[in-house]
Amino acid sequence: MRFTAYTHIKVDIFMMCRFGIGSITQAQMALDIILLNGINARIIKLDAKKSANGCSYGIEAQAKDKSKIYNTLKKAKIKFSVI
Amino acid sequence: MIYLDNAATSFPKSNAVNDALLYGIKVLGGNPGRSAHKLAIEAAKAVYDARVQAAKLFNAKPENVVFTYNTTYAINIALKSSYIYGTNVLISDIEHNSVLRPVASVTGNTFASYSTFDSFPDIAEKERPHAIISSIRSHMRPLTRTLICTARSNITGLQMPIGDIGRYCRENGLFFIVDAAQAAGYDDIDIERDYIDALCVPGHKGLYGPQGTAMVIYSQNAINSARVGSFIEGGNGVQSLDISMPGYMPEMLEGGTLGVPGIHALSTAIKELNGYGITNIKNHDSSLVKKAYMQLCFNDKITIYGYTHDSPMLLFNLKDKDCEAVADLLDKHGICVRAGYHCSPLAHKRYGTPPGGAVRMSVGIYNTEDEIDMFVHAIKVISNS
Repeated sequence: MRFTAYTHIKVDIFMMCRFGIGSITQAQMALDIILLNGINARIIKLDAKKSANGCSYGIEAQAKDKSKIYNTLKKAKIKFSVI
Repeated sequence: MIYLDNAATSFPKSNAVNDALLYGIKVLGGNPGRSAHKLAIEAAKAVYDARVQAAKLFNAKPENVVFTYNTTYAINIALKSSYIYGTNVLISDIEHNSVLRPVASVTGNTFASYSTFDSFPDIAEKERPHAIISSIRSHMRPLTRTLICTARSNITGLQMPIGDIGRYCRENGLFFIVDAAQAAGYDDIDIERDYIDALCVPGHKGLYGPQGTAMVIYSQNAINSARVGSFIEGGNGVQSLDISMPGYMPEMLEGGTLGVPGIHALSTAIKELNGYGITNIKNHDSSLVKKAYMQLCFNDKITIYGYTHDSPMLLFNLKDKDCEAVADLLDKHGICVRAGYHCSPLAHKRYGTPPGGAVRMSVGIYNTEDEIDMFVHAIKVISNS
């Protein structure tokens, strides 16, 4: 049996921003609009402990895009919260 | 084998649809809306893409596309999630049991009941919308709040004027549910233009997707009206600590794990359908049925019920022959058709078929003129035997 040893792991640390959206469908809709506006982002599952209602999804992107995403979601009338 | 039972389920499916189904099983293995790992997100993307495809086809919003397992489930969800206890429901006189039975069930235990309006299959096409609306108006009661209507009869292919009926419903505050089991993928249906509140669509018929796929597609008007509530409660990955279903679409109506492989295959099927063009499909199918009709209509041993020029199906009986026996003999000729009541006792009664029902042949995009010639030949052989 062969084992692969990872001798070095490169970790890129960015300052990130997060938006709480709700369901996976709403997060997909939000992501579609954000990507269409040329902003790179991804869907994440939010920490259920921090939500009164339990599990939900959100969007994560680089912190420098926070205000652009904020305005994009507002314009698209998608409900969200800034985390 | 010649497959002429496309109204029950279309066959075959394209290679792309078959491949997509397999891809769904082999690759899209995650559970959408439950986790955020790569497999779950890929599955969620596939489901969302299917919502977008379906929404485009019927001019709806992606979030208002609710996936289910067949049209019967779709109609049950559309009716039971919007029904106001004690109110009256209107249906046409050619509805399938998938409409009749849930309507009888929800109205049966209350003082309200359902009424049937006339579909007028025998009058001139131009006069039908007006006559149908008059019949609806005459059956309205003070507590009528819902109208359910097929877009096309599943036994003769008779088209209903859903745009006219929809306008009447909108003007009179009725929740309008359309059973598009035979019309989706065949007729141009626009949920906004036709004033439809809930459109019930099978994936496995005119959309050429796999069995086990269907949708209820809501208009924004229906969602805004607050008539729609949850029907199937359960887990769906969001608001887990809340005892109620989420109040937003589509999760409000989607409890439990979705059938991702089927939904992905359905999405592929819809993309292909857009490539063919619905008008081309309709022209192809109706011309094949017309060809069969023109060769059979002068035969005095054959009774044809309710033929219309734009129908993808033909309903008939052979003189002195039981319809199930005719279907069995056609099967021996390698031809698949369906006989009996087609789960539509109301429609059979309306068309006056004899006890036992009739034979239905229904075509699809893969049928050819040669196959119709062979079908007609087989019918002539059987009728002379």
